[in-house]
Amino acid sequence: MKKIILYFFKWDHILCTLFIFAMLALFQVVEIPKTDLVDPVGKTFEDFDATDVIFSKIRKYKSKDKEIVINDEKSDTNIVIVNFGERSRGEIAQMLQIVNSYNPAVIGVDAFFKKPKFSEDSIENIFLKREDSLLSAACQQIDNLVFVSKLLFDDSTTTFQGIQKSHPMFSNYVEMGYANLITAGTEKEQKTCRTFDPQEIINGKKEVAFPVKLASYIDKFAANQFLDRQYEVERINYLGNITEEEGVKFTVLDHDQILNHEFDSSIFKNKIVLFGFTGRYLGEVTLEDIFYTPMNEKYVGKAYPDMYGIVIHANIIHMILTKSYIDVMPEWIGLLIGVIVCYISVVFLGLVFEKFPLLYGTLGKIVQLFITFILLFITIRTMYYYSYRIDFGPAIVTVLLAGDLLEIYMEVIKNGFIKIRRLILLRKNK
Amino acid sequence: MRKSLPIILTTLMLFVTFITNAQGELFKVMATKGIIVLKKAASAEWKPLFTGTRLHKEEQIKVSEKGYLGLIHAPTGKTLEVKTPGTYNISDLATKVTSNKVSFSEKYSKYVYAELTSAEAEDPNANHKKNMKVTGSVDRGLLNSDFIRVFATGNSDVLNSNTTIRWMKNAGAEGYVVEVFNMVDEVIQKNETVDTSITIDLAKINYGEFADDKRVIIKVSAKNNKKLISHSKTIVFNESKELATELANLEGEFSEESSLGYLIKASFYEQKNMFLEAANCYEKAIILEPNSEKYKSMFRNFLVKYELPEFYPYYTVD
Repeated sequence: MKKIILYFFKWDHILCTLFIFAMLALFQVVEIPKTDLVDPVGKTFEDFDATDVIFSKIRKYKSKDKEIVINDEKSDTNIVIVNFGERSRGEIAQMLQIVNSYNPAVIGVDAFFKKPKFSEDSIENIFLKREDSLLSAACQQIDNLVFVSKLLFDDSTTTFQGIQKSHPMFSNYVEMGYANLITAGTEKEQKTCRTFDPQEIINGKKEVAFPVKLASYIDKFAANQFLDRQYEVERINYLGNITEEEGVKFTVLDHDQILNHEFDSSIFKNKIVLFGFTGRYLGEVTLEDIFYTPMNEKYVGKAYPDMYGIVIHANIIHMILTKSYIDVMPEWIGLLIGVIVCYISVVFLGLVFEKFPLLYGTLGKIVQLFITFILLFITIRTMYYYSYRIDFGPAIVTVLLAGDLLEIYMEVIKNGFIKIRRLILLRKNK
Repeated sequence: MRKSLPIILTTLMLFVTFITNAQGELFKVMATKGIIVLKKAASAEWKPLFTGTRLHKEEQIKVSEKGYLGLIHAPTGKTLEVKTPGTYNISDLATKVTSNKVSFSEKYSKYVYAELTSAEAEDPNANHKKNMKVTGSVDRGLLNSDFIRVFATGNSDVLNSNTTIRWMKNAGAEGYVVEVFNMVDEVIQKNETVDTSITIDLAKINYGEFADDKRVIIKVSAKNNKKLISHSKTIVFNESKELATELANLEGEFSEESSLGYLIKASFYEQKNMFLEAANCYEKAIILEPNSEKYKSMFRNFLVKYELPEFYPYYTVD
């Protein structure tokens, strides 16, 4: 037992671990040209995100049984999405009135109506004004109606300086929630959405995000509990989409189904109803208000964007109501685990190096792959069952580097050090 | 005991009925597309099936060609999709759902063979406020001139490969650049012009891997100011033979060019969500009958419906 402990805490293992972390630090600082050393682990220098795997692979897993397709993940029947397509303001008003007559808990409208419609032609103007007055009347008559707003970012002060709303003829009669989402792109490019900002203080007043506002109408306690986390940025725990390809995780209706009353009367009672754009008709892929999300199996730019904005809001509402928000392991714990895992890897690899030097290349890789597999499994399982994001990134990177760096340490650094020491001793003896 | 017996029996019957019904209710409809019909246990009649309907074990459903049905299994919350046309017993569908059990380990092991994806290069959360310029919402009824207004709806199908794209002249533009993108935002054609229109031959475009779905995005920007740009307009080149046959049958009813014929064609195109084709027909009808206020009024209403009334003075002969 004493031998094992002594072997475990051998100086070589400690120094090799320090050497690996020193090389890691060097890779971060200096751009190394791609070599056989770096290239196989090139991807691990990028941010490895296990949550993407849960959304794009595990949660979307489907069993096919000839004619039907089954997905294990539970749907959310508290949220109903209505696609208003390219309907006019008057028709949207009509749809709102129809839905409202079935006593939903709240209706959220994911659209801006910034200016009144106007035409120089006096006859057309009458027609356009009628559309606006229908929508304004709907806003006044419907209780529990929430419209989106937009926080305006000032580049010079790097803060939010104001809120953009729909025209007062609509916005004066409804509640507001900002619809801003955090993306790497802008309005004119394709965008990836992984996180959102739940609340902000604007001009001394607390403003909450659109999905948070809507969730509070069903469960105020859950919404407050979510806000009490006080996270500046929250990761979205995606449930799913509303497409034929990926499956339907929320109840969804098209504009003509609403206007033609082609739905069961029980569908809206006490539910959160979201009005938004998901194509001219349900199932159409367009480039308006559509994002890339972690549920997309391919990289940004290599496939169609996969989720409309309104569906992202639905996913956030689901996360709040089911309290399935993602908690993240602190960075320092991830780093500490990285050090421990690296050390254990060095011990095992060092043993292989000493006992089976000729087979080190093959056996070493097997040990590395095995440890990596275990770490990935723990990461993904923890995220899947507990919505807890473990940061094993440093650990996985060091494991993948350990094999080659241990060889460099043993054959170059350690041997070099021994030779230098011998030379010094020889000179002393002379 | 005798007096309370009827009460007890009634309560028991109600309880049994409740339990039976609760057990019988197996699915709730989440989404429907196409023709889906339902036959209840006590009836021989097929009736349309709507979203939100609850399905019971004695019932049957029928899914048509190109139909889609999304269901949630009430006891477990699992989702089930039916995309293949046919007739299905609800009880059979429920059995398939309950017997389908896939463990996490099985899903994970299948993932292990797939390539791991990595996150995007930069972290937008490092300064999240700066990266919150996008909302998950749309603008409806926006009227201003700080962008180039293209005469097209956000999405439009076309039957004719030679499609003319027009836009409103912008005071800040010295010439225009018309870019054609594929669905992954790659430029596949670029043209420059000083006019306010351009004709694109959609049959000659190289769609690459998207050859099965001939869809392009058009953006028009000012040559001297890239920030002065239009909203994206998606054009779909519809090569449907059925549509072409329908149109040919319609055209066969008019032996020569007539304004009425064009109006009827405009109505046909409008029904098929083909804004550009419909607009062309309205214009041709007005050119043939320039004094007809009725035709002009119809065209105006058409433009108002698609929120482009400001184009009326540009494209009519007054």
